Amino acid sequence: MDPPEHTRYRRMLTRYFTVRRMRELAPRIEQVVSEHLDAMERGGPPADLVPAFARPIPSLVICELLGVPYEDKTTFQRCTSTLLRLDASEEAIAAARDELWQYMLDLVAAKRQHPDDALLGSLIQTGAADAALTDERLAGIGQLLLAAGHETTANMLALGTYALLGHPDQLCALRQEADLVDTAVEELLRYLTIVQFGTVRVAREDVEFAGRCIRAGDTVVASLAAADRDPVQFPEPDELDLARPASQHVAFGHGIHQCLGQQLARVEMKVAYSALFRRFPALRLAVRSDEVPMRDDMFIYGVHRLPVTW
Amino acid sequence: MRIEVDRDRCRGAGQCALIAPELFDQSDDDGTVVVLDEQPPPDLREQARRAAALCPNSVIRLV
Repeated sequence: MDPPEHTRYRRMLTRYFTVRRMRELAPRIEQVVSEHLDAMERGGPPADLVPAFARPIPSLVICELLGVPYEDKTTFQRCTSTLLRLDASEEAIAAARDELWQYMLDLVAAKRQHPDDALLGSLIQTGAADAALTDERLAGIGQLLLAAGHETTANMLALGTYALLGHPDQLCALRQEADLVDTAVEELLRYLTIVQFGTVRVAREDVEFAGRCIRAGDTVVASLAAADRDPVQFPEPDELDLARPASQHVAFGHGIHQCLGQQLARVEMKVAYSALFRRFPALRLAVRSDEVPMRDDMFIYGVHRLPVTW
Repeated sequence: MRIEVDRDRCRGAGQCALIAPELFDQSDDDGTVVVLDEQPPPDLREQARRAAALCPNSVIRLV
C-alpha cells in the first residue's frame, strides 16, 4: 500500500503503538514474563526456551492488544508458521492463508456483534473518518498485526538469548549493569536482523543507484541484514557490542513503512531479557552450541529450539 | 536551538519520544510527533540531536 491510502491507515493504527502506550503496557508484560518464568522454574531444568518463554510471551501480548482469543493460538500459530516456511508447497501456503483469513473474518464478525476495548473492537467502535473499515480491511489489519506481533519478537527473544549465551563477557556486563539493556536491545536487533530476506520493493520510476540503473517496475530486495553489517555505518560490524552507541540500524526497516510495532517489541525485549537473566543467573545451553537448530528454512531467522538448563 | 517538525511526513515511529521523552511525545489521535519543548535547555540538546539523527523519516529539524 502506498500514500495517500497508506498514510490514513498508518495514522489510524499508530495511536495504538506509541511509546507512551507501550510504556503503560510494561507492567502487564512484566506479569506475563514472570508467570512464564515461574512455570519454567516449576518444570525444572532443562527446558526448551522457545515454547516455554520466547513464543508465548509476545503471542499473548499481541493477542491481548488486538483482542484475539489466546486460546485460538494453535490455529493461528500453525498458519503463520506455514506461511513463513521457505519450502512450503503452494497448496500448503494457500490452505494456511485461507484458514487464517477465515479465522480473522469470523473474529471480525464476532467483534462487530460484541466490540471490546482492544484494538479491533476499538476500531469498530470509533471507526475512521477517512479510511473505509470493511470486514475485509479489518481482517487484513488483524492478520498482519497478529503475524508480525508474534513471529518477530519471539525469534528475537530466543535468538537473542542464544547470542548472549555465546558472548559470556557481554552477558556478564548486561547482568552487572541493568541500564545497559537499552543499547543492548538495539545492538541485538542490529546484529541479528532476523528479517533475513527483505525487504522487497518495486521501483516506481527509473533510478540510478550505485552506478546501476534500476528500471521502473523492477523488483528490488533491500537486504536489511547486509545494511546492518555495513562497516561504514557500524565500525567492527561483526562484533556484538552491547554498549555500541545507538545509530540508525534497519532491523525494523526504514522510512514510511518502518515497523509499526517497534516500540512494543522494544519493551517486550527489555522486560524479557532482563527478567530471564535475573531469574536464572546460571542459564546456559543444555546442548552443544552447534546442535541448536537454526531457522535457515524460514523467512524470519531464529532458532527452532533452544534447550537450556540453569 | 529551536526544534521544528514536519508532521505531514511523520509516521509515528516514536524514536524521538523514546530518546528524548522530555522534548517529544506522540499524539493520541494519530501517533504523530508532538513537540513538548521547542527550545530545549542546554542539557537536553544532545538528546534533541540524537532524536533528529535517528528519525526514520527525517522529520525533525534543529535550527
